[in-house]
Amino acid sequence: MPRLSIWMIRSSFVCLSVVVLSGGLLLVNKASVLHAAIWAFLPLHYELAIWGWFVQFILGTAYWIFPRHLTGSPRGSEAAAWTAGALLNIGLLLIIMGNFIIPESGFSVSGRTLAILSTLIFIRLLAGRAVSYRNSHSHDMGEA
Amino acid sequence: MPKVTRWMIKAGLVYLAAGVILAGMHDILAGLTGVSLLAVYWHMIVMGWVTQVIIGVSIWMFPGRRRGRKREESLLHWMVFALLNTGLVVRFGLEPMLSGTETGMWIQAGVIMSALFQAGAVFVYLAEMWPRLQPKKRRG
Repeated sequence: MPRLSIWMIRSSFVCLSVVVLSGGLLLVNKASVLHAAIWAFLPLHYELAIWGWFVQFILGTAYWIFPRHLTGSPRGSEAAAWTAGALLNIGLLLIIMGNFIIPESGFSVSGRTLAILSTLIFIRLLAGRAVSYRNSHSHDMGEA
Repeated sequence: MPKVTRWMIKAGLVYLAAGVILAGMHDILAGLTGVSLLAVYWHMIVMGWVTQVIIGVSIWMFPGRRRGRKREESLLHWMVFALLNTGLVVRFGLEPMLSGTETGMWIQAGVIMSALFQAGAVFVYLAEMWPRLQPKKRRG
């Protein structure tokens, strides 16, 4: 497993931990009101679930598991992939700050922009790897 | 594919079906009962389907399963399955009842227990999976 995938999956695990802790707190608060301010955790709960857990885990796993290029860098530009991974996590921090720590500061919009940019870079990297080498293999076998 | 993965995928499919049916019928049900099931069907899809399938498939596909620890790992995986699904079933059964004016103590206790079970399932999964995430060279 490439290091970038390890980092992204671990980061997604950290996000999942925050998601279940905040979700657990929200559910307990729903059953037995602890404090009204606990509802402020709701945006953190679903933003981290979508971007931090699902999107990050799936992109990190796809980067590892998709078929590799036969020539050149096996998983495409490593610099682009690391940049995309960093952008996603910086974006996540900005979304958290914008939704939770400093509301209405523009952080949330900037964070979402970085997350979208990161996703587009990954789409570019992964689209070229969504291939099958079966035909080229059988073609080679046929020629041999 | 390990047995626990098959069970997780099948349970995930049941939650997916239940989630989309509830989502489709939400307005009618809410009109009849006056209870919003929004949180229930979202969590059926997000926790019961997506998260459970991710957990099941990663248990199967991710590297680092060791022959010597097979039995111990398997116990942890079944614990994740049991905690997650008990937590979810209890939650989906009891959460709509929280909307009533007088919520019984046992309903509150059940919902709190379901939160603990779901969180417990996730943390057991993370504790088992975290050390498996290593570069190929480092794995023994």
